[in-house]
Amino acid sequence: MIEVQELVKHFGPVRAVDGLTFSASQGEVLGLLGPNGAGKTTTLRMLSTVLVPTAGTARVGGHDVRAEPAAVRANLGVLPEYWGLYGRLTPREHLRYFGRLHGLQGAPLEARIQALVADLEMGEYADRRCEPFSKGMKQKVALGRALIHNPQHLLLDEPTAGLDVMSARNVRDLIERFRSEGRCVILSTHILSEAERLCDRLAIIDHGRVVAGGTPGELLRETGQTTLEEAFVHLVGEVEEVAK
Amino acid sequence: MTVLLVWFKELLDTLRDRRTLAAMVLGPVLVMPVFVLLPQTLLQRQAQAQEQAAIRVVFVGAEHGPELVDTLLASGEVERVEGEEPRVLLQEDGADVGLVIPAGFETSLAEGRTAAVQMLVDESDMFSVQAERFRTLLSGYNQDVVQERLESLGVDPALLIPFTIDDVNIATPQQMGGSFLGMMLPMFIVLWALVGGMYTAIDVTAGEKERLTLEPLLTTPVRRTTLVLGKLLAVVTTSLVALILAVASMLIAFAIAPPLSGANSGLGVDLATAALLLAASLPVVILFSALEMAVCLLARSFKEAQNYIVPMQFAVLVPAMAVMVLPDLSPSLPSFAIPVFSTLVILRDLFLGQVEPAAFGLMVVSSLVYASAAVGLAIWQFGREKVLFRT
Repeated sequence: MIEVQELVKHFGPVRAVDGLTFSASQGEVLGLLGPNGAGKTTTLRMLSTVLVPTAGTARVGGHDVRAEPAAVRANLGVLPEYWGLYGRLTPREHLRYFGRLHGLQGAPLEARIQALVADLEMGEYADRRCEPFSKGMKQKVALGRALIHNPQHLLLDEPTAGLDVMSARNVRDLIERFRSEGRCVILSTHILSEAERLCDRLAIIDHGRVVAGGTPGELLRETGQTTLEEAFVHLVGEVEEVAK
Repeated sequence: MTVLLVWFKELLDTLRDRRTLAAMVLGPVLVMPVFVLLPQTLLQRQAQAQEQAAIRVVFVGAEHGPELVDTLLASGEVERVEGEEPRVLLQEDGADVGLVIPAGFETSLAEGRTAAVQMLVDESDMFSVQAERFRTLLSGYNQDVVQERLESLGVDPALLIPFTIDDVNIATPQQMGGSFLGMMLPMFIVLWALVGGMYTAIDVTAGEKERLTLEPLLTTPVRRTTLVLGKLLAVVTTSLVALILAVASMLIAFAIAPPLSGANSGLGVDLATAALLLAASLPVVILFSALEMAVCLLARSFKEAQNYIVPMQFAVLVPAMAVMVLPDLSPSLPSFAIPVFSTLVILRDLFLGQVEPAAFGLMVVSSLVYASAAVGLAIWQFGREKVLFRT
């Protein structure tokens, strides 16, 4: 369970996140939807305890991000927007390093690595250095890294951005599986069709605030639109006008 | 031990990087012997070649002093070069020395007066020993004339030499070597402490930011302080390896070809001294490693970080040069609390075998204090959101 209450983050005069409230439970996929610069990545970074909130609270699995950051991270898997791999290490070495940083070791760790390599179909290149990998291959390594400690909470920042059709499809299948495994997933995206298909609920974010929330169907009813894209334009456009 | 885990990963990463390997291993091993061997080999070669070659002399006004010219030529060391313009000849390297003999030279000598000759030398040719050799020949002729004059007066020439001076070098071969090493090595040790770990320092900070690997690392349960200490340990290891390789290769080069006649092998540095050298260098290695990390964390990319590190190298080179240029420098005790400088002086004194325990202790303690402050700075930087996510 991830709960966010009135979360605020300022960078100097910039209010990147300005009072966000939402929650996601186990077995649920929550989509954070919003234009670039809406505050999605900043929100995810506060949840992963990499950034400290200016105000408000956020709890992951019952642990407060400010009071118990290590406990939050121990049960949280993060897939950053840019995978961020060590070019001179192999996928297996990545998984081993991060597994150990999460306190795993020995036979259980090796078994977990083996399972992930098989699961994510990385067998062919698991022992090659990551430098020359394609985006899809790198994304798999990054996903494996996020899953190595079998976290019950997952934060996925633009998980399909820049991937080819097949790789994006694989990632979507994985997210479906995370839900059926009972994990709590929050993903950020600006691809509306993907959000509609994958997410149980959506939070539309603009200028660091939630402007609308609910299931895709509820959002359509609320805005009186027939497609999510129109609903999105309607909601975000409305805020723009208010801002003026 | 999570610190060791981070340390091991960073070292593995570093060892797979050709840049770091070059800075850590190839640099010290190849560059240091060159510093010892090249200058002396070149100088020796040139000196030997010149000593065997004849001194090429242009005589102007040879007819005024035929006896002098004949004596010089008779020495077998002089080769007469014909020419009207001695200056031009010298500058075009057609001759080594020009000798201008004035009119009436021989008459002056015969009458027992002092005559003057001019010796033309191109002083910009710094490595030439020919002018010195020629001067010795001229002095020899001078002595001959003095002797003739005294004998004609019936005086014993020994009257003019109340006593002679014999130089006796009491420095042991080890000291001869030590003074040379004491001059050169501290600077190189401190320089390698800075350069050896540089690429690793950049790689584990700015490099990590550039590759966007920092965020995944920060989302593990490991505390940031632990991450910093593991990384620091990797940087310290790299620069220590570079430093040890540099000193070892320099000492070996020194043993093969001592740069000073009479100096024995640099391996006169015994194990105890080597251990002290290492102990003296360690605080400054930690200081530099932590400073490099703190500074490089500010950079967004590998390249930017390199630009930040260059000024640091100058900051180290200046005191290093001072210690090298002023070999007699013996600072007061409190000045052993000055970072870097104190290390340089202690390293020099270790090679000379004349370290004061109080100065050594003060240097180590004060350097460790500075190093801890630098480590604190690096840890603080690693906690700053502005620094970590400056993109």
